[in-house]
Amino acid sequence: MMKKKSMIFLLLLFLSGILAWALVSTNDEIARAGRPMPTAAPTKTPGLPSLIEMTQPELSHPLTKDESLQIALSYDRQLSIWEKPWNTQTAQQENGRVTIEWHKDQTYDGSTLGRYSERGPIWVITITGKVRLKEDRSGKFHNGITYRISERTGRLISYSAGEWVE
Amino acid sequence: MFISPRRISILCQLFMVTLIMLGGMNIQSRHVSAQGQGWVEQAFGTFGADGLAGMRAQVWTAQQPNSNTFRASPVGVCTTLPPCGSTAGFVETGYYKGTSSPRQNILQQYATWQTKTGRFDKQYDLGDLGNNTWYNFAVLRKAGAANWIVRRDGAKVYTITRNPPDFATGSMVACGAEGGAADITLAVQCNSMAFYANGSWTLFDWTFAQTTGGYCVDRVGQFTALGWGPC
Repeated sequence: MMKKKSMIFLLLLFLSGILAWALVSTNDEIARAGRPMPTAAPTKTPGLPSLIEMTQPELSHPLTKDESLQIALSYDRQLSIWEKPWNTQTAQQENGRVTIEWHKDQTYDGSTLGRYSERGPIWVITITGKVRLKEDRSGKFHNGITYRISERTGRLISYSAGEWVE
Repeated sequence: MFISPRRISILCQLFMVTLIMLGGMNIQSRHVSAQGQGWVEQAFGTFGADGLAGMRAQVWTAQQPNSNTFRASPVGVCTTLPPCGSTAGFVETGYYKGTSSPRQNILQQYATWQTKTGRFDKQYDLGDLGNNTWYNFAVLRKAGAANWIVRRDGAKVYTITRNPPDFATGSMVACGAEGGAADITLAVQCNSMAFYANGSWTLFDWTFAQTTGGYCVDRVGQFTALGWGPC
C-alpha cells in the first residue's frame, strides 16, 4: 500500500517538474535548445585602440549634379519605400519633386563638423513625398528625404527624413 | 491509493507559489514582436528609468561579414520606457557595416537620432573602426548643455545640431545588435554598460530584453549584454 502511494506521489512530483520546466523556459530557451551561444568576446586589453586611417578614395573628377542624383537614387532604393516612386527623370517631369543644391560643406544647415567628418563640398538632394524608411520600425510615412553626398568621394555622408505624416 | 486532502492542499499551494514566481520571472524577460516591415532584427539588453541623459558601453566589433545589407551595434537612449516604442524619440551610436552603408562594407561609427514627432537623421562619417576591437561608444547630453554629443573612447566625435532631438532626457537605455535582414547571424557584446543621469555615470545590469523574432539577449557577466541570434 505504502509503495503505491509513494509511486503516485513521485509521479505527481515528476509531472509537476515537467510542467514547471515548460513554464520556466522562455521561448528563447526552447528555441535555442541545442544551439550554443556565440563565444564571448575576449577581455579588453588596457589602453585605447589604434586609430584606423580613413581610406576613402577620391573620384577622378568632382561629382557632377547628374551623378549626385544617380547616387542618391541608388542609396534611396536601399533605404526607403515611396508612396509615389521617383527616378532620375522625375526632376524634369514633376516640378518641385526633386531639388539638387551644391554647398561648400556640411555646415550649410547648422550641422557641425565631426572629428573625422568630410570637410569638402557636398551635393544636397531633396525628394518630397510620403516615404517609409526601412530602418524606422514604426512603419509610418515620413515627409520627404534629404541626402547629402560628398563631391570629393561620391559617398553618402548623411540623410534626413521629415516628420511622420498620415 | 489514498492521498490525504491535506497533502493535496499542500501540493496545490506549492504549485500556486511556483506559478506566481514563474510569472514574475517571465516579466523580466518579455519579448517584443517584430514591428514595421520585418526588416530590422534586433536583440537589445535594456534598462528603464526616468531622467536618463546618456548611455555608454564597451562594444566588441568582432569580424563582421561583408554580405549583409547592414549590421549595427546601437548604444542609445530612448524617450519611452521599455520597449523603445514606435513613436519614440531616440539618439544612438555604435558600429555600422554593410552594403547599404555609404562606405561599402567598411566598418565605421554612425549616429542616428529621431525626434518625438518622427524626424529621422543618420550621420555616417564618424570614423573608420578596426575589426576585433573594443570601442567605448556613448551618447550623452550633460545637464544644461544645448546638444547631445556622440563619443568614442571618451573623445567627442560629433555634436548633434542638425534637426536636434526634441528631448533632453529619456526613459530607456539600450545596447545590442541590429541587422538589416531577417535571420542574419548577429552577435554584439556590450560590456560595462552604464547610464548617465543626474550628472554621473552608473553601471547597471539590464533588466529587460527587447528582442525580435528568434534573437536572444544573455548576460555573460556583470553589466553585460550579449545580443545574438538566431538562437
